[in-house]
Amino acid sequence: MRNLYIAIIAAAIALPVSLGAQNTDSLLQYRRSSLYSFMISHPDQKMDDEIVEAFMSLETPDKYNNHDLSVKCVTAASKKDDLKREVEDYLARNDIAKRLVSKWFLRNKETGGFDPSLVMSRGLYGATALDVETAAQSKRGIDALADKGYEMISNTFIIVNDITYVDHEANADIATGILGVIGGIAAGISGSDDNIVTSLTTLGAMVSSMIAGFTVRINSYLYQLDWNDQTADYFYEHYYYNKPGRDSLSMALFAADTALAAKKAAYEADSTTFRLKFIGNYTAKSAKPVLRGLYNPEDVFRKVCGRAIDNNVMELQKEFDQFKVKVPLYSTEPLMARIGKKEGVTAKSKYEVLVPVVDEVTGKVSYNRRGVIRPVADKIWDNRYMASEEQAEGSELTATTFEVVSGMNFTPGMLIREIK
Amino acid sequence: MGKTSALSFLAAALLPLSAAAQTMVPFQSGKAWGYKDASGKTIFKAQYAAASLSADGLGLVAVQDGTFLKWGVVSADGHTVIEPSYDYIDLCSEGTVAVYTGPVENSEEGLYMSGGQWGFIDLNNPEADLNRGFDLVGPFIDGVAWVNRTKTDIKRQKRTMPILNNKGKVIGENIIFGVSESFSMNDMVLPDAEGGTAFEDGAWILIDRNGNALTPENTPYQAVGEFRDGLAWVKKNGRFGYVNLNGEEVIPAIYVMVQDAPGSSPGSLLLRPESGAVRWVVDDRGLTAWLNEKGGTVIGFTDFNGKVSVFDTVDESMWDF
Repeated sequence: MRNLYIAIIAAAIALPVSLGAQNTDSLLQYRRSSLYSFMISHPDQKMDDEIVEAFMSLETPDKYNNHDLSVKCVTAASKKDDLKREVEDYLARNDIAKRLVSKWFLRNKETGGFDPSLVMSRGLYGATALDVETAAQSKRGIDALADKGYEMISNTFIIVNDITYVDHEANADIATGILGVIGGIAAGISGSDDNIVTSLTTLGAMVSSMIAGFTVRINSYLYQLDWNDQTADYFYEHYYYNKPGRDSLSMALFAADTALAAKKAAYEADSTTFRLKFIGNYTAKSAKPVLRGLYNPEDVFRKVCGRAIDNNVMELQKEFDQFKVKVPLYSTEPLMARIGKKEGVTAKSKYEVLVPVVDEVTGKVSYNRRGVIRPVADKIWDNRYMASEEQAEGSELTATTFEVVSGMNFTPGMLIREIK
Repeated sequence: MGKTSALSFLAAALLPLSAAAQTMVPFQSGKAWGYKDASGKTIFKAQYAAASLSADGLGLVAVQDGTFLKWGVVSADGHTVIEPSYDYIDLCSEGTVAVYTGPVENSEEGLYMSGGQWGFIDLNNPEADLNRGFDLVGPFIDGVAWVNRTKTDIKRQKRTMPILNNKGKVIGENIIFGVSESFSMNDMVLPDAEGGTAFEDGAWILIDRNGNALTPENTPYQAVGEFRDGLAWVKKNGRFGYVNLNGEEVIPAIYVMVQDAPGSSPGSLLLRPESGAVRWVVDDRGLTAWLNEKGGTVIGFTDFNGKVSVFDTVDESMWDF
């Protein structure tokens, strides 16, 4: 059975490499980390509702699998700059680590049964449902499944974004004052002095105050699910069982199975096995938004918050190796990958090209360096939030082009990772 | 910043929005506006008193008519789609625009339309009117649009966004013509002194592209919201609910408050199913429930007010896993 699973792992890894660029999305998904992000809001501050609505409208960064739980926002008073202790108490009190595991195995809250289909869909592209079902019939099969999901599950992260509004009343007042001066320009724009100037003075004052004043500071706390061999073994041995079917016979059999009921109760009572590791945090203020292409204030809030969060994610990736994304080469002639300015790609960046290697004994995957590449300065994709609406330079591209620093024999699907 | 450089910045800042619109870039020469394509070739010489950001390859332009402006629509291929003859035009969406005929007020509050009539024009057949005589209209989204059939004093504003220079200074305005994903009905209404917007009660119905009513004409809604994920909030007899794109009141208008309605505050939960949509509602008891797009219960009524504190132990029913 173990050999079968090693073969499946190898097939899953090798397949996209051999199929070329059109299948690299599969490999990208295979190697994606999973992310649950939520925010801390401060109802005692101005603009809190607007910030929450903006955050809620943002998608999970596209280099990560969405591993969100239903609670996406928690509130706190804005007395303290550092809420690390409160956050960690909250995470522990609410069994967040266990809920992340529950999501990985699509636990049914009613029956307590698990379902490997998410693990499969995120990782086992070369395996069939039957393979997994067969594996689940034996202890070793389950172990093999654990091996299979090990890397993916251990690469599950939480980012807690503590977002505070930076009140720039003074700046806003300055911006409003400017409106009196711009009358001449506005008249030139409109050709109808009275209408537009009056409109600008009122509407402009309102919107520009908001824009000039709208800055957020975000402190992003990064945690990782502590999913190790010991935890995985314990989970599979003591808690894991497949969801019963929905038909009446299956449900009746399940209801009569006291062993499963005991497993369910034990899992629900367990508040110690599943843990999170604090990785680090990063704090920054948002940059001034470029308003080109924005339609309304909500767009501005979304852009400011979205860009600021992306920036913090990028900085956390630079600082902490385990959080770095590995993405596949999209093509080799020319060398291209679908990362860009959002991931911090600059003309000075360097990336190692990695080849996955499967340990035949453990079935786990490690990476060997095949070479080093760097971006071509004028071919860096601007994939930042709303960059295309802004018509930023590079936003018309769909990937960043690289050139070889060292190494050779790169193939589409090989993974790249930034090096310092 | 000198005027010349300011105007250069304006030209750059007025770059259009969508891929289709990239072929229409407003430019200014003297006091007049025209459009160029992405290569800098002139499509329309500078002849207009105002020109909007383009949307779907179309631009909103104005000509001076005495002390007023008359508005029309031009296209990226150099044609005039609608002659400048309307008192305002807006909400370019899904091949239609909303046209206004009536007073344009210019007060300390700003420029706004109130007291006239709105209707739609199908840009593929601009000669044929597509419903007129509405007090206010929303844009066509997914083939349907809200229209208000009773007279109100709602002040419909000209939608604009300011242009800032690199130092954050306001140096002009972009006229917004298209409809973005984040469009809100509030975008249309002139804010009050506090920056808020308030729709007066109207008589709103949902219509399709042919002008057919999708919601009952004899029991219109007092107020309505924009569609998101196929649902829009509605208000009837002071109560809130949701309708879908077929005009079906899938979540009945019996609740004292619902998600996204004016006065609602965003909660802590985000329930985003693989398909469909989930919205929260508050009943007379002050209890909150989360319902799906078919009216089914996702989370039953609870006294949880929707806000989770960092000091809370969140009720198990609030967690999806």
